[in-house]
Amino acid sequence: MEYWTQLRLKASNYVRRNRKKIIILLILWLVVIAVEYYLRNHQVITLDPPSTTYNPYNTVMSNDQEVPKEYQEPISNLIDQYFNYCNNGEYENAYNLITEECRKKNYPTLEQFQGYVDKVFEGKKKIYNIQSYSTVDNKYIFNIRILDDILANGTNDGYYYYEEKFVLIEENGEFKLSIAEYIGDEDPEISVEDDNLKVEITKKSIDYKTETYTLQLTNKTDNYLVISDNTIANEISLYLNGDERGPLNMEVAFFSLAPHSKRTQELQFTKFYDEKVNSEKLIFNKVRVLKEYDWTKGTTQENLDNAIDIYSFEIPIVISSEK
Amino acid sequence: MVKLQKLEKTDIILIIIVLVLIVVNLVIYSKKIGQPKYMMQQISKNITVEPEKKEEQETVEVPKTEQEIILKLSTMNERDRMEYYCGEYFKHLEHKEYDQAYALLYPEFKQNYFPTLEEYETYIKNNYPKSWALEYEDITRQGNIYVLKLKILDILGTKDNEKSQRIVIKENNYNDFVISFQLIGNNQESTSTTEQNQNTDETIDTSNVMDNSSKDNT
Repeated sequence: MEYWTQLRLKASNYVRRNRKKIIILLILWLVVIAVEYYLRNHQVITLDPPSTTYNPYNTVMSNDQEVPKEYQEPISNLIDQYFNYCNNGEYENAYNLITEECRKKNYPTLEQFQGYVDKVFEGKKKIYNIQSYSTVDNKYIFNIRILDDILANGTNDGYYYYEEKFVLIEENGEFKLSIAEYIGDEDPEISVEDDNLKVEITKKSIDYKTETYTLQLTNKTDNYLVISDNTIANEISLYLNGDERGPLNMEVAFFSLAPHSKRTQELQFTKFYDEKVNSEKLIFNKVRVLKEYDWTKGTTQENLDNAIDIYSFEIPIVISSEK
Repeated sequence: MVKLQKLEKTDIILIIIVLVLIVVNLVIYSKKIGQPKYMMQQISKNITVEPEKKEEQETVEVPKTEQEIILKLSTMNERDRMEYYCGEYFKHLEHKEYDQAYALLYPEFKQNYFPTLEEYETYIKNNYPKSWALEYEDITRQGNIYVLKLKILDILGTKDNEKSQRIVIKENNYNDFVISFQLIGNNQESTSTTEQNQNTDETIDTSNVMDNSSKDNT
């Protein structure tokens, strides 16, 4: 009993003597508890952003390929800027983001470009998403999906989209935008001739899906030269690595030259830009040298029977700058 | 000498009391510090499907705090997260918490279709069954926007009352999302409605690439 009284006295004396220190310690203790409580309830959790399967810079055509990190932001910014301009009806600003070559080829005037934008955007605010599709020679091809703002309309205006390929061309670290799947033009400077025919390839225009050759042809004879009139199979073809592809443009059905005449002819073929094969040659499989020819009837059996010559004409198109 | 001994005893007791207090504090503090990690382990345990276990052995921990929800979401894949968000939205409707459901709507969508909470509430009351169940049919992605197609089953009604609806969700971060939806009405879309000429996007589970990215040139 005496012991506990002494202990109590001792403790109270101790407390009295060290009142200030104890108060400070108590305050410190309370502060620690308060800080701990605050941290527990306001704990900052550092987590990675939510994971998704959407990786716009993973190249679809080559899964192990990705758009270089340093190019991702400039590409994204350029496309975003383009869409902002189009959504806001700032046609001229959007037009100026497009390469001169692409403008010249697809939209020579601002009005034509405006027509294209109005058709795609339908006068509505559109959203978009991008996906790297393939990369060839510093040309980054992106699949662009354009659709209504489905968050704003809840898909009540439908749930569909429009797609096309944009080509982002890197030149000295800067990017230029080519739309409508247009890649570029080349000047092949190829000329082939024989006794009857002279063919010059004056231009090769490349889209993502097609190659279009512009030919200048000269008939050097006193006879008619018939190259294509749909009376014989495979009259014209593009040869690539054992594969032969026919032209897409139908006007080649009336492809003939009168004696000593010239004509310009475009030939368009399916050829994907990121295909691993190169176009090797154009082939006119059945050039008919005829004394008489009526283009409204096409090549008749009589024409063939009396033909001066029927032969195959090849135009090599391997261009030194070609990939 | 005796006095000195007494003094030491008292001091020792006081020191012991202080030490016990410190130890108790430290124990409590260390437990709380280690709690998130422990919680994460618990969550992943709960998510793992172990059908062999008996029902009474399973402990499903429902996350309550914002932190717990975020931690739970961080362990989910995107499809499960979207279904969770969609479920949260419908839970608000089920509990008649229209203001909370309304707060989840994408601002422009609200502006377009339900400028006021009252209009939204009226629409929900008029077009959803009194008691329903959800059936997820499909999920597609447009960039970082998800479109869930679900069937709303009228539990008390007939099969004819079933409705199909698209829910659009954009996740800004874990448990931070906005939502919009396809309007359904009693005379609008039913499950038999076809979606002609509508391109739906990639199904999440099948691929991480866009559906039209098929290698059509090879």
